[in-house]
Amino acid sequence: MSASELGIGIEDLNVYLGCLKVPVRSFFQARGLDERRYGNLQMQDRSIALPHEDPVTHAVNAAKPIVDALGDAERASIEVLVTASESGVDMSKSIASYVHRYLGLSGRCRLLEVKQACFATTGAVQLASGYLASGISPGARALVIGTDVAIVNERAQYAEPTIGTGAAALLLGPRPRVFHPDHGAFGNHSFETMDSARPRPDFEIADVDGSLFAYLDCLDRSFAAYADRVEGVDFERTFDYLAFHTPFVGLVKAAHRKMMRSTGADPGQVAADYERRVAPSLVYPGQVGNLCSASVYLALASIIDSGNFDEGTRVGLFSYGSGCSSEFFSGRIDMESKRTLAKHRIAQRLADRIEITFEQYERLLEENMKCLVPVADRVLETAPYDALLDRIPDRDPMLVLKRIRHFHREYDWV
Amino acid sequence: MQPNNSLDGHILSVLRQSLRTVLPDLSEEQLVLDRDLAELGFNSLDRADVITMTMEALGVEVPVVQFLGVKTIRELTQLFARQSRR
Repeated sequence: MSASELGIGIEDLNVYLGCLKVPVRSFFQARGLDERRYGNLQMQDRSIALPHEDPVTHAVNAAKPIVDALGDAERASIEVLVTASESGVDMSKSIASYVHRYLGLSGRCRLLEVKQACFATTGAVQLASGYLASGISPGARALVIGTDVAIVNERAQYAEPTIGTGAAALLLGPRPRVFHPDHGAFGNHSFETMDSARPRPDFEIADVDGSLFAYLDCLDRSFAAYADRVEGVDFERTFDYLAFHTPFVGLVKAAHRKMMRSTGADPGQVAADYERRVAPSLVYPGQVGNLCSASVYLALASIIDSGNFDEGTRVGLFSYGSGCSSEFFSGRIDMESKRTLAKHRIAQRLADRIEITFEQYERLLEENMKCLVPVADRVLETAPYDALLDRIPDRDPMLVLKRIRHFHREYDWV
Repeated sequence: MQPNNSLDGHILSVLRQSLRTVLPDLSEEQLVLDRDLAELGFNSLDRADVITMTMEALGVEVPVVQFLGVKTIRELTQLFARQSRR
């Protein structure tokens, strides 16, 4: 049986987007950035993590509501757990190993962490879907979680206001309620380049032009590869919505403009098409910042929650990860996608984040920059942040990092 | 540097048109050959727009990454000239 016959797809999708936010504009004032460039970003807020959050807690906090909603048999059917991250906490031990423990998943499970910058989640989704579709373990499910933290400071200049923090968890299986991939509809483009990287656990390199140009080339080429596989494809007419990897909203707008120009559309048509097919994907990303490889799934969630559609709606997705590797693929969403996602109250949880001042952000930044730096022993105090967390209405219990003991991370629920 | 007349006139005029489409407030006089595009107010997104629009107009299809590090109108014109000849 093929994947479409088995109907492998996204059964459930949830995101964790932090408890705090800072308005993007405040970075321009505080860092002395050129205000004229604020408009290019088209971002409102950036999610900020607390010092006792890390890629493990983000991943667990995104996946917990999905796992909790499963029956015992369904939970036991999660045979593959993959974390996708550019925020590894150890060179050997995976984030997935911690996530497996704190989600309480079955011991009969394959654990893995993958890395390819902001492409890693899509790479893992495609490989895991192929495994599930192979039919060698009927009824099996896979949990793929893209999770990352921000480790940039003022050195990053215009990238600092746009980096997000958080995770997207995707449950893949035979009863997709959120997203039905179009079988065999994908195209890739990859080549080696040094457009951005994290050579050290507290230092990021970002070549703005290099990243932008590689992104645009990959979109063009991966869509061409997609069109070679799928008959009768038309960028303007095949997709009702478009969800792109979103480093910042302005880049997606430029990428869409480039693709539309090649169809011969005039500027008025491009603008109308953007509002209709692209803008719904940017409602959430514009409030969060770049969620690395989870970003394109936040864009998908944004379409499902804010798009105005009923049945059988096709979405074209573009995933890009520096370095670089990319994929254009597609699938369908419907009213069941809306109902399934509504349970996770993403818009409400975004609105419930606490806005902090830039001074508070700077104090947190000092702590957050240590998040991935290896230390043998460390105790994290959560008490200083209780007052902030208490301001969040109806807050679900969240996993936090309590201490590191001989490099082993210990977590607890608060 | 060679005098201006060594540049391909057609490519230069197409490029100037793209530059003024992206930033319409710039006058023809401001588009000096050796001015850095960033200094003229073209950010990364604008430069990408200029490059892709010019490629469309000239019928050139090459990766945008080939234009990395190209800073001036003169350099852009020369690179487009090399690619158009291919």
